[in-house]
Amino acid sequence: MSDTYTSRTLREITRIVASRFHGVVLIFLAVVIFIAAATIVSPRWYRSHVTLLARPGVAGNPLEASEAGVLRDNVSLFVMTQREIVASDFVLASALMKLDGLPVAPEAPGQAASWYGSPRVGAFIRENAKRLRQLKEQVSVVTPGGPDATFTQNFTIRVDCSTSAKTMPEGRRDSSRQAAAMRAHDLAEAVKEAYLMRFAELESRRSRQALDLLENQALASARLRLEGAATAFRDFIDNELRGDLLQVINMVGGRAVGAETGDASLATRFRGEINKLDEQIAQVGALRAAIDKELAKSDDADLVIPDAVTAGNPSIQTLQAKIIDAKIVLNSLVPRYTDAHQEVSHTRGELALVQADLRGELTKQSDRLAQELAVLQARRAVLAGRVEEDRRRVDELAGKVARYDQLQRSVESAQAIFNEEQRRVVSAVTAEKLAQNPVLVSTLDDATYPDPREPRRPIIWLNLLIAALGGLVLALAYAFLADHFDHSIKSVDEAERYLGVPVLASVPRIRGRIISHT
Amino acid sequence: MTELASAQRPSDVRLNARAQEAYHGLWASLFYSGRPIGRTVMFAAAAEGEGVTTTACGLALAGSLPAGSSRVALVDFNFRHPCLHEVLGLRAGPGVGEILLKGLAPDAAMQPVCQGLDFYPVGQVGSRVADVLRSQAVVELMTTLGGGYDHVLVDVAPVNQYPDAAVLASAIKDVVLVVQADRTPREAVWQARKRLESAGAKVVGLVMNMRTYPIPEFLYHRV
Repeated sequence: MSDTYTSRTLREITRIVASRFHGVVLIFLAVVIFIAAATIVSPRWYRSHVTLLARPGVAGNPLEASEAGVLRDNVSLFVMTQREIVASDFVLASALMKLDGLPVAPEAPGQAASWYGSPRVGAFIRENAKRLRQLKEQVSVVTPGGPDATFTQNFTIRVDCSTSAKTMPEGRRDSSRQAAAMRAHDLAEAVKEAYLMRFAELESRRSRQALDLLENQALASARLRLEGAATAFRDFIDNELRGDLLQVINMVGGRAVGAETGDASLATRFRGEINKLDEQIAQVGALRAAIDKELAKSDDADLVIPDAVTAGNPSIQTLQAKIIDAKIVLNSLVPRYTDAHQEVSHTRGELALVQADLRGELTKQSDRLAQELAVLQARRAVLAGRVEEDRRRVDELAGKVARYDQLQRSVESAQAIFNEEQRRVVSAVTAEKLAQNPVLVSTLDDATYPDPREPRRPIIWLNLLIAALGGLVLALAYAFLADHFDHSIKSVDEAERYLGVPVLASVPRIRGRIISHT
Repeated sequence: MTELASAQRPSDVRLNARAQEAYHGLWASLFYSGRPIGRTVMFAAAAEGEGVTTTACGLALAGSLPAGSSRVALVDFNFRHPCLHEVLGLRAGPGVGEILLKGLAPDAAMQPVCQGLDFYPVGQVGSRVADVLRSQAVVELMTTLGGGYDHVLVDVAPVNQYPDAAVLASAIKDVVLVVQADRTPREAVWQARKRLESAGAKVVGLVMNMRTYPIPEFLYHRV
């Protein structure tokens, strides 16, 4: 007996177990016996199989999947869907109602949908929720060998039924093995029929929905609207716009940048010119009026020439200079000589001549101004006419632009509606393909009759093994916990460690009397 | 050899052979190992039923062997639940109670058990246990007995339940605590030790009583 750490630990463990050996053995045996008894007493199960085959309704691969992986995904998705359908409340409730002897049929022939929505099924589901839950645990769908990479797939509905038979109607709870095996078969058959009915109903509903999508009138009306809008637009361009097309497009495009390109700028441009012409006409008119006023005087000597006239006419300037010269000569001669003096009279005559010339010149000038005035007024009339014409044209163009704009918008919105409808139609086409290729599910093997002599027996040695392990763990846990919470003094070491007092001796427990006397 | 020793007894009080072996060991480790220990030793336990009476009695029987090797006095101070006389098959009185209260001579109360072992029974004290234990008479009795014997062994009531042992500690300094293995919690023993020491006594050591060995022998030698 060495005293290493390991052996001391081992001895401690042995002590803990040995000091509560009876309790440990009791717990261990209790667990094992309980599990063994439970295993033996537990109801026996029988399993019935229904094998079904799913394949496309038309020849050829409906899924057009060239890659095996995609196909496999589709198939496993299909099987998963079938699993959901089989485990659905409606299918299981239909099966149970059939077993219970209740009528299981659509209320109107060829209308399976009404059966699934009918309040009778809903009421049955509510009343038998517990049975349905149990049945759901008994039914499973499997694909033997996993999903195939081909487009036919067989799958199996498995129904387990025990001798305790809680899901069955009251009259069929016979606990004999014969009855249990029979029940498994009947249940499997009922589930299969309910499933097939449900599947056919779902399949027809799916194809109907696909056709509904295709027969949708919305696309046609959208197309008509689009065509109408396009025609109206084209007619407008051909018949009404003609040469103005480019300008209208420019205006529609430029309208966004600035609205001043139309009649307004045209008017301001011409308005300046007209104003300038009006000013000139006024000037020329005033000048001519001044000249005409002078000309109206009878005496030539009284003629006063306006500065504006003098500035623009060199011959008048010459004549005026001559008049001034003649007047200066005359002024120098008059004090010295009488009127009869030859030179005086000669100068006077000359002066009168020059003045007469001036009058003539002014008259000519007046005529010239009249001509100029006429020219200016003619130009002004022309300009005003053009402005008027432009305004009219601009008004006309604005109307066309508005119409063009409106037509363009209607075409655009019709196009958008049409595109949306077309997008829906693309999905409808896929639906159509599916509708034309329904999946058919048919029965390969009817529900099997399990052999009453061969139930699915529990693996007793495995259960016992688990029980033994569990019992061991429980018993050891008990021993160690009890030891941990037991503070009594168990050894000399412990006494000295906890109390700090030497142990003088340890007296063993002695059976019988220690001290006896007669 | 032990059978022979028992056979030598004049009286018919007999000690189990295995027990005798164990008590011899205890005697040796108490008195022959050079411990600083007086002639008078008190045997106490933390709680009732630990086997104090049996231990004191067995030790006295084993210590007085071989016959006449030493003179031992066994005194019953357990006024609460006296049973030493029943174990030995002797009278319960007059005894210590009468000596302390009425001044009875110790010799008059003494009952011989065998050669070298005298027994002083508990006697009668009524309800005045604490007063009696506190009196000077106790000290006088102990002195007298200490003068007359080599060893005086005293049985007393449980420490944690009665104050007797703590009161008596003023007269008897050395205490041996008897502990039943696998039963008394260490906290209780600790408590008893603390009480005794605060009363002025000295806990010489422990006796582990009724010790069991849970590991079977064949396993014990393997692990």
